[in-house]
Amino acid sequence: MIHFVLMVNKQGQTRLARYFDIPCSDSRNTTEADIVRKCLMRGEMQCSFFEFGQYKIVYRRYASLFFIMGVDSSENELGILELIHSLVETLDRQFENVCELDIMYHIDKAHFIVDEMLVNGAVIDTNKSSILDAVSAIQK
Amino acid sequence: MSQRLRELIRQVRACKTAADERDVISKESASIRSAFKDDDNPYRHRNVAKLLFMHLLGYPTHFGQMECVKLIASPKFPEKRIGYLGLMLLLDENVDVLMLVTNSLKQDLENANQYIAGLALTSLSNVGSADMMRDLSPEIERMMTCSNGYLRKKAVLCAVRLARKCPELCEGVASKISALLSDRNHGVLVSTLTLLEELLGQDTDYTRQFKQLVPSLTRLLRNMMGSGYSPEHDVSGITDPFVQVKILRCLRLLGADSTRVVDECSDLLALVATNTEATRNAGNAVLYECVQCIVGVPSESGLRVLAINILGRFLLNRDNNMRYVALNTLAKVAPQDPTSVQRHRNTIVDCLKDPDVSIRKRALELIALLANEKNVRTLVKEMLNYLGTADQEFKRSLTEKTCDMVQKFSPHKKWLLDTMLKILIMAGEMVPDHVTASLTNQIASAEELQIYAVHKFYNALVSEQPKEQLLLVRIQTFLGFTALKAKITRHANALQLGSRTSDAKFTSAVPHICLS
Repeated sequence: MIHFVLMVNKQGQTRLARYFDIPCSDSRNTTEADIVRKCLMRGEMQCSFFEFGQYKIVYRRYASLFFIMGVDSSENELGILELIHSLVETLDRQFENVCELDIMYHIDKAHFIVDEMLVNGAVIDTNKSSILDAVSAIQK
Repeated sequence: MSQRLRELIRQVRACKTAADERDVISKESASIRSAFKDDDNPYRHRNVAKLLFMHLLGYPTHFGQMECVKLIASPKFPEKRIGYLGLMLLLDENVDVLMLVTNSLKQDLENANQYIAGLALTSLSNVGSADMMRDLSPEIERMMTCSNGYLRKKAVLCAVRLARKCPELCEGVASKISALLSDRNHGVLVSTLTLLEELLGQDTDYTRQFKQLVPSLTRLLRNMMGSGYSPEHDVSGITDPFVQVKILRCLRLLGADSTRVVDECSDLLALVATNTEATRNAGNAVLYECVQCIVGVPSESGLRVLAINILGRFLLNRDNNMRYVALNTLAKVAPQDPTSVQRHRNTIVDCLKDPDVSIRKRALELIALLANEKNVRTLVKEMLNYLGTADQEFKRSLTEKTCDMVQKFSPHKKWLLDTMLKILIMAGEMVPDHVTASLTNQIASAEELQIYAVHKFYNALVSEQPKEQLLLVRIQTFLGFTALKAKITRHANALQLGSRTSDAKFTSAVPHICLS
């Protein structure tokens, strides 16, 4: 199960945060800050996975944004990397060369895309056309 | 007139300090709070959108929860949409306000507009409490077999949450899985496989019942591998790797304790292992899952060797992610299949020098698992080479593991002595106490080596000049004790050393030595 999805910029500001089954609390905020700090500190040559408490963190940097997913330790890490890539490609198709500002100003659209791909921490669909059809219909 | 979300974002971005930002947000917060008091406010959804932005920044937004409930009940689609989004982001299943939404959810689930029903299903799947799931379970089950693929896939994932929260209601849901596996919609397929995985993780009754699904799963995977290029599902040359990975995971769960299942899918696993393209990450993800499946079930040895060789190939890959994943899996396999893993020992030892700390840690753990009497000398030699240049954090675990290995597997005592001395000189302060204690015992019990031990330790003290006080004490304790046991006149050496230090422990031992 995927426990959370974060999109964070290089300065550590969260641009999108989606939690599945983790209630809002101060400890959630501090954990988020710790994980983000750890991701930002890691170098280019290091691998994209590390352990943090009960979660395995899988992350990848695309231009100025870090895409971070916290998953169970039983998940296939390479599969999650593919999922992150699929999400980025879908965002790219929606916003045409997506950048950080697109996500900031269209946060609701970004959330809808995440909703069409991930529900309650599980993958529901990765077919970009069907996801984008649903999102554009919802926008009307 | 309330400002639009864009305006708020622009204002926040223009703030130069955190205090400025807090000012802007608290002003906006106050204006939103008073707007909420007004029942007729046409800008309610705009205000909730602004609240979501403020929530992302970390500010308190619980006063918006009731507003989300009101928006969900609205007949207007844009308002409903923001209401549901607010529900998913601001509320969780423990909040009382959530119960008020149940009625709206029920109505929306039956709405003719698939997007409204879809919104309801998604929200229910994300934040539904056990009571809500119980109330709405008949609707969910019905929608799992409806004709609309968009709704079907969402309903199936909703059923996953139902299975988690109310396991007693799973009968109806479980019976539908077999039919859903032949669905043409890949979204429905991937959701069904998640549901299957969830149920398999719960109850052993289901495991027996679901073993009948193995032929459908293998057929599905075979079709996917054999089918031609399909642009909507293709990822780097692999047809829908997400579904393939899920099928392999379900096969692993089904075959964990059943040789019959394993017989049915051995051919397929061998096919996946040999035919999957390993050039891009998508193919490697499928291969990795296949390897995990092979080692997680009682497969025959030929297949296991194939899996371990794939891991060996991963280890040689330049991509750090592949190496990490390979080391992790090899550590799980090593206890059961040490001989096959030994073949890749050299590559694993090379990983000790990797710049990435995660890989170094994994390599160290794996080496500790692979050590035995035959290879301990070469392995420890490599580890000592590395000990000299290791960073502080890693040095401690490296020292402890090396000491462990030396103690457990050393072929004879002389080698143990020499190696422990080398470790003490290089990293004495990190050697655990129990190791030095047991070393003392070992020297004490080996009469023939005591003279040799005294020589070596004394030479080391004199030539290496270890500065670390603790190390000094330890070596001196050995010397004193050993010289005492050996009753040789090299007591004089020990005494000379003793006079050079003011350490209480040693000076108290000196009189004993003099007396004998």
